Amino acid sequence: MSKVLAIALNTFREAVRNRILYVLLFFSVLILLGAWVASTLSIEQPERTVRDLGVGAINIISGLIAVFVGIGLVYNDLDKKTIYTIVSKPISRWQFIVGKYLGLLLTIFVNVMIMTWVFCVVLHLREAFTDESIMQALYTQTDSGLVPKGSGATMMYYVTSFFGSIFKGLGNVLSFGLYSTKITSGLLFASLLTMLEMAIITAFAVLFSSFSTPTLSAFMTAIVWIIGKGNQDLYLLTLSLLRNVGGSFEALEPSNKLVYYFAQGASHIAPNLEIFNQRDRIAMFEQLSLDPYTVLYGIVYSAGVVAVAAMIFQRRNFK
Amino acid sequence: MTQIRDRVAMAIQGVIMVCALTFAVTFQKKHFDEMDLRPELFTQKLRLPNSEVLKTATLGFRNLYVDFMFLRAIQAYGAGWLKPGESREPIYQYFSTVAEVDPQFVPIYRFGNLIVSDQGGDGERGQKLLRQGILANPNSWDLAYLGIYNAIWNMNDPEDARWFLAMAQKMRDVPGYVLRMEEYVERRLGRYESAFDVNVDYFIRYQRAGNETERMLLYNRFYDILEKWSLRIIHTGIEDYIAAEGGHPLKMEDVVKPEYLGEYEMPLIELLEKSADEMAMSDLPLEEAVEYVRKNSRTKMFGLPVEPRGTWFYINSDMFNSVMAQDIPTTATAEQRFAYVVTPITFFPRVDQHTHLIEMNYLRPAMGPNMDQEVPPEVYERWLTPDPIGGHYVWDPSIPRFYSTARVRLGKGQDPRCQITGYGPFPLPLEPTLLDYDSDRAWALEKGIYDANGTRLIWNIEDSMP
Amino acid sequence: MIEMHGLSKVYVQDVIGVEHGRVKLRLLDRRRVALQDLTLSVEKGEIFGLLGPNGAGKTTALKILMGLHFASSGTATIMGKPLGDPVVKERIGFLPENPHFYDYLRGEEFLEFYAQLYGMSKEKRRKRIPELLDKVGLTGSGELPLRGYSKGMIQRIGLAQALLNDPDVVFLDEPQSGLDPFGRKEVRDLILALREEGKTVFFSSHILGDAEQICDRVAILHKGRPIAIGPLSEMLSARIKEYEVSFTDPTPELLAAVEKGATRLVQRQNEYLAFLSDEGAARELARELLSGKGSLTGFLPRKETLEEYFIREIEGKRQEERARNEGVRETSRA
Repeated sequence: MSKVLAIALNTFREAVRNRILYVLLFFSVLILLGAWVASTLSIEQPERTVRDLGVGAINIISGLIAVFVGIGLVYNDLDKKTIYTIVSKPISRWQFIVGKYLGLLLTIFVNVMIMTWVFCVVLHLREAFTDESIMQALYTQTDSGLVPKGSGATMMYYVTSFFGSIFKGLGNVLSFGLYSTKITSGLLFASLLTMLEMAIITAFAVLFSSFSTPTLSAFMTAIVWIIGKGNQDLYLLTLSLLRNVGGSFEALEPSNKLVYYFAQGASHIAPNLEIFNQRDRIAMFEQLSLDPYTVLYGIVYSAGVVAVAAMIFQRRNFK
Repeated sequence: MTQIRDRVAMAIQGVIMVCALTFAVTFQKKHFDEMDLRPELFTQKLRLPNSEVLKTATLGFRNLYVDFMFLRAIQAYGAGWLKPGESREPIYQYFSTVAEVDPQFVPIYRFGNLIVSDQGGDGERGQKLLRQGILANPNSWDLAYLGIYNAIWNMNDPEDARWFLAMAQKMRDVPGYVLRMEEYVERRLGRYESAFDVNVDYFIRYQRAGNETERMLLYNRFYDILEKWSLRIIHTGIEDYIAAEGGHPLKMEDVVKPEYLGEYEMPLIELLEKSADEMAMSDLPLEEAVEYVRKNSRTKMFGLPVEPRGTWFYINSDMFNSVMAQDIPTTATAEQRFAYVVTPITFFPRVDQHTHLIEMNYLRPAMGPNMDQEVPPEVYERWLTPDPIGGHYVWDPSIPRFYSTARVRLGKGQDPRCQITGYGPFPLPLEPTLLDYDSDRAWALEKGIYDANGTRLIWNIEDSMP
Repeated sequence: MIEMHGLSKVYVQDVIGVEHGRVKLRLLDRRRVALQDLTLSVEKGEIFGLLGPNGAGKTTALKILMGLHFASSGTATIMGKPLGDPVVKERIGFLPENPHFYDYLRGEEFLEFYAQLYGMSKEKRRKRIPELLDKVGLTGSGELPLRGYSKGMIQRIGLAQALLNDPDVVFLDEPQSGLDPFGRKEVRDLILALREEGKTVFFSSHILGDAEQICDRVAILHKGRPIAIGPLSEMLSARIKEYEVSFTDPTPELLAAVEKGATRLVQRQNEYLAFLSDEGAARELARELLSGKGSLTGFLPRKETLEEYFIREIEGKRQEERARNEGVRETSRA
């Protein structure tokens, strides 16, 4: 077990040096700030817009990280032949694969937490710059109306709100959402759900990386991701196909029958990533819930995919 | 040698590149210039695929997509995408489809209704959107309220309003003013009985809750209901009169006869107040108290209905002439056909000759007058200033302003015709004239409007102007 | 310690591939025999050399032993246990050819990581790693990332990781490739030192001269097939192959005689080197030189080197092959 951890930590070290990670993180910060801007354009419910955009951005960017960092993971070891001295050590091949997977998962976890933290900071800053907060902080109510508190107060306010946001965000993330105000409620939960989704996607990235070139792996992982997200709708599409012909399967055209079979098969086998999607509830500040079966599905499915990767890896000849 | 060859080769490559670029840019420019930039194209951009497809295509980022489409709609609205005369169907479809992708996003329906119905004038499609929104969000009372508003003001369809009202009544956390629209709907539907009953319910509730402001607001509603109720009775009587006599009645006294205005039951304001006060003292449960007040506000009456605000109903001759001149068809509403039935309070502001006279005869260029005080009494004294309800205007230097003698009498309830009811005989003719009171008659005789026999001499007041 | 029986490895090649710098389309015969029927055993405490030209299958054999490749047929055991047994892996060390390591790790981190893969406890690690760095002469470079290591240093840290667990058997694939003569000597000395410690060393090389110096037994591979296996002493004939006589200032007659009689005569400036196969002739030449016909500077009886043996064998095999191919062509033409 400690050997798996050793590989995992080393993988983490390796992944952290990947430049694309920082590019994606940079973009995520841009998008999160952009969410703030977009919310100001919305005449109704700016809260919903900013939360929507933020949570969606974190989801997409973490997926991109999983793909771009994951595709080179095992492939690089094989291509650069660094694997020779590792496999010749008393470590089984499956331990190697699992270690790589866990290392990648750890990397993504850290990144998701960083993005969540940035998002919390943005939200807190946004709140600090609403008219009410500024009014309250920079003006005092006297009998003759509102009196500004002076330029020193403004400076102080900017500084305190900036650092305050940073620490509030940090507190939110580190306490796993236990310490959270109304504006950041539910975000940690969303990020944890995203992590479950990433567990599955990462597993696929590792799987494809173990036998395919990075470009092809990226392509295939992206397809899996798309099918996973559109899974439920795919299934619903098949139902509406049936509905359009009045419910009987025989009435479908041959081409539609094919579509039906394919869609049914794909939606059952492919991972269902929609169950981890509660973004609409998060946007509306509604109560989030987690079915233990959902967590189990995520864990079991990713374990299964990693097992397949290990099996393939077991029989590989290393050039 | 090779150096020169190399340089020539590079130069040729450079030339080819520049030519290609220039060609490409020129071609594009020509293409864009000839491109069809008709505004209809923008409307075509509104066409979205089926919402099922959209739901799948957005891969779980539905609310993000809807947010973007919503922002886009806001910006397009700012850029002005509504052209008069165009069908609102594409815009309606746009909102409807986007709403289907995320049905719980209520602002879509609100904003869509704003664009389609309020700005675009297509109330029907606006209602369709609101209905779609309510069905997806069973507790969106704001949409129900907009539906009621639309139905009554834009569509003039009280039945449609009833649907929205019924939905609102089932919703959670509906604020009072939405539910009170019921009374207004009932009123618009001509169901004054239920409108009155509904209002009593709220009245007692507010009384019990100690909510004085709301309670006072409701009084206006009561006045309005009872006035319309009374008018309906009078109009029915006039219909009977026309059926029997073949023409319109010239005076209210002609209609106030047992064969035209029989017996009926109606609430009276004093009875309402009395029973409400009784209920204020008792500890009957709410429903029973409301029932009691409802029953005990009503009383049996006959003849001329009571005017709830304290004056009385009569037929105004000038209005009568103008209504007859308009030749209103019999399919029009009773309010339109019998618009000559008025009360002094409703009639007074409509035909306030006073302001009209001043505006016509004493306006100084760009200066006014803005107030009565600005007209010097000596100028004023020369004019004939009867008011529309049988009095005349007098200058009161203590205030200082002009006041109408009849208005003052009405305000103090000193006219014997106030709150009059029954078949008569009435102490004074129901249509007020300058001959009703001595002071007014003396003034009229002095000004030569009437002669000693009561014949009207001057019809056109403007003829008295210098 | 190491046993191999009939070990074979056959690759199925891609339909389109590159061979000898040309693109080849292989439709029918896509099998490439990398290793055929290798049977040998290595005793405890031996230094065993797996030799042969490039592409002979040495690396393939090593990879199979280390569990990087899977044999197409045949069996092999290490210390009596089958390949891939983790117990075995704990007692062996491996250094691949042109080793690649994670170059973002520092030297110490790198060894630390590998030590964790061996399951070493923290105290053991803390003791062993400085020891090893010392042993391979990298004390001071533990702080540098591997990225900054020279080729020689990489080779050394590679040896360090191969010896991390104080293995009983050490496998080295071309340990001297790319090293300068000093480096090669160091490797030679290290291997000898390992034998002193009682370890078994199995290494592959194409530098036959060095192998000759240190190996107890060798196996020579050619195109996947073993053509000779056994102790060096048995393979190389003990007889003296030829004599090298070096001299200066010969008389013209002596020179002419030497030119006629010697297998080869090499002249560098005013020094001559004569190769004679006959002992008598050599001694005769020496006597002549000593008696004043020139100046004798060296007299060296030389046994057949491994390299010569190797070339002889390979050449023989190649001729066989050519003959076979000719025969095939003849018969097909006929």
